[in-house]
Amino acid sequence: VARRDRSPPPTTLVGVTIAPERAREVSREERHEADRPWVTIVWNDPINLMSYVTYVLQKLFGYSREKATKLMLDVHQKGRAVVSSGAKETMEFDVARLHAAGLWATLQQD
Amino acid sequence: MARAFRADRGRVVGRLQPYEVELVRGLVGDVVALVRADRPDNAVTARLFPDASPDPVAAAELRELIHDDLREGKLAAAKTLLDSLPDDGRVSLDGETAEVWLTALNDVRLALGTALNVTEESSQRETADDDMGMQVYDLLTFLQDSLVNAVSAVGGR
Repeated sequence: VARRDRSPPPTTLVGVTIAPERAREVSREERHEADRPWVTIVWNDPINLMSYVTYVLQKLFGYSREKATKLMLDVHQKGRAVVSSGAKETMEFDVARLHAAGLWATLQQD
Repeated sequence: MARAFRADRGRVVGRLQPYEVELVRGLVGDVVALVRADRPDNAVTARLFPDASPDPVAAAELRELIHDDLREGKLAAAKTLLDSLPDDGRVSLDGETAEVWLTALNDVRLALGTALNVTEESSQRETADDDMGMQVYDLLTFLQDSLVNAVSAVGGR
């Protein structure tokens, strides 16, 4: 799958039309790029048990049983779920912990 | 056949048959050998140490960051399991050790499931009497699932 820039249109800039504003628009857009949060994604696999995945999400992220179950079902039924978001370093930490638990996780910029 | 793990006065207890003790020890030993060998071209190793990004460059960078600790963690978890699995199969674990067991047993299930090419369909089929690989996999599933429930009960979740 090719990588695509899926960033939403910079809605805060809607209506900016005059030329001198262009430069500011670009710099704002660049900042928008850097500020986009990172996310941790858990992918479906045929081996990890549903009960175990729910347990791991509760344990690592402090999620309620309900929330962890919903995320697990998303993984199971939709093939993936975003389980956390934030700074890149935090997502690296989350992915490392998920791999330690045996879940298949990746991080990417949202 | 092993009895399910259960919570008992704040501990996690279970009972494996002696042959199951040997089986689990052997499988944990196999995982330890694989992790020590550290061969990324092996399918089981690749499952235990997956790419952390769909982008190959980012995945390589993240591997630098994550791999060594991950490897040490898996070896330590395997050691903890082996050290707390007695010959007679009467297992009694505090909550913390039981959580480490979950990780170590899960690695064994991941390794065996990957080696057996387990799919969601194949894992739901009834296992044939002569399918020894899947018989072992089913035992690990039974142990893991009951261990999750027992750990959750001890942890008050």
